[in-house]
Amino acid sequence: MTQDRGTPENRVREHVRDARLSATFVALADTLVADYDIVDFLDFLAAACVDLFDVTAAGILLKDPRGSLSPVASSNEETRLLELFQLQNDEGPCLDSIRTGTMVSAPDLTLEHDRWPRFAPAALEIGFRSVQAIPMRLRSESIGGLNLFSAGQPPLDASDRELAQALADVATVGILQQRSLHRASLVAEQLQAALDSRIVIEQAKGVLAATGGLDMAAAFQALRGYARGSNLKLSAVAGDLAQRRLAARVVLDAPPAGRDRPRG
Amino acid sequence: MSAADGGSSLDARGRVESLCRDCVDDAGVDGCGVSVLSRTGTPVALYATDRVASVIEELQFTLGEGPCMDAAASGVPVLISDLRDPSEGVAGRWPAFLDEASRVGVRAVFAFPVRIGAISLGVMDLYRAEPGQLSGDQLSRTFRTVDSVGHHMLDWERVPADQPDESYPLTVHQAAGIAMVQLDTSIEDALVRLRATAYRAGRPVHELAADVVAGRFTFEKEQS
Repeated sequence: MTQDRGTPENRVREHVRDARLSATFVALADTLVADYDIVDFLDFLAAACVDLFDVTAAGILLKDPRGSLSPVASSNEETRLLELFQLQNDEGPCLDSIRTGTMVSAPDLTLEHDRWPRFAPAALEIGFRSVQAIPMRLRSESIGGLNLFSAGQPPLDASDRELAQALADVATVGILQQRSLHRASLVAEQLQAALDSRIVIEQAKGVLAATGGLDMAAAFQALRGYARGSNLKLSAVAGDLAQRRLAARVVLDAPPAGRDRPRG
Repeated sequence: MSAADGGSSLDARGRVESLCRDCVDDAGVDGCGVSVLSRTGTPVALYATDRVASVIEELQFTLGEGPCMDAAASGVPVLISDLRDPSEGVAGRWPAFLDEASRVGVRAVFAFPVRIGAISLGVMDLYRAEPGQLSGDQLSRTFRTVDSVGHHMLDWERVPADQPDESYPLTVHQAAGIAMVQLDTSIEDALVRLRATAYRAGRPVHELAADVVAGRFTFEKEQS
């Protein structure tokens, strides 16, 4: 927090984070060009949050036009984490944050059994100790939320929370492509497109997992690595795999690509 | 297997028709039509609640342009609350369709692709004589209907009309991808087989899907 900022160690840490933050915003701006892939963009943002806030996992849930919450991006594709996201259709910090339009913090989940009798034990079982849910708001309506999970690190301080809200706002703008917001129906169109892409990605993960004998997290890594390495959209590669226009072996045998910024 | 061959099960088809009729009330529109995508990707009319809905769809197939065609091609909903509003940016997109739509007195058109991830099944078109957006409630009810229509269109023959109408959790789609490899088939067929297997075993689809993802259940090729 602020009182520690004077120590050399903290000044260095701040400096490193400022540099990462600038890089994150540059990369995000790069993705906000015409015809970018929403899921790619959110996937990058989730990964950036893990780096910036030193949390264990980050995920983004969108309220789909039917009113339920669907995970669209996660820094970690482990099935148990995706299930934890889906559980929040019934209860949890993200649901509360979306309902109230405010940030919801739980610095110690062991104390939250009464508040979230199913979510708290499920999160603890996976190894998370704290969670922060940041609403993604469009005017007065919440379209989804950014979730930051921590295994043991101290909870986010005030400046971290402000920054997390700024990133959630950038994500909202990214999804809704601000320039077209005069058409309210576009919100529904864009959200639906993001959710449909996510389903295609799940189908493709299944194809890669079965072909390569991988778990879902590794299957997603392979998919993302191939998309970035070939400068293609994640959802386009996923669609090609599910429609058998692209052989799973080609993706699995491609040389691994580093974590890079997403392609527009 | 695909809906375009369909008609053999009156149950599933009848269910789609009643979903369309209910949707007209739920969404506060004047009519609704559903078309299926043929193997070449072009829509073919399946059902319309009234004559204007049917004309609106046929017009688009004939002219090769319009909201339904765009929704089919892009896989994204196309929601036009007022065809005469310049800010909708449709004048240059569908000049011929706009003329014809105005002739039959249609001001608002809402076209929803019927799809399950990479599986494109068809398009559902709603129309209204009066301009105006769908409310949030009307939209969410319509999206639910579109999901249900998709579930019924995927497989006329094997899936009973009383299947639950809610959308699937993500594990179901992962399992469909796995089944596709294990059965060496298409993603459409894989999802149909997954669903039919769950139904025969008297289990919810998401439960079987979890077993498939965890490797506790494997599909054997040529076993049916």
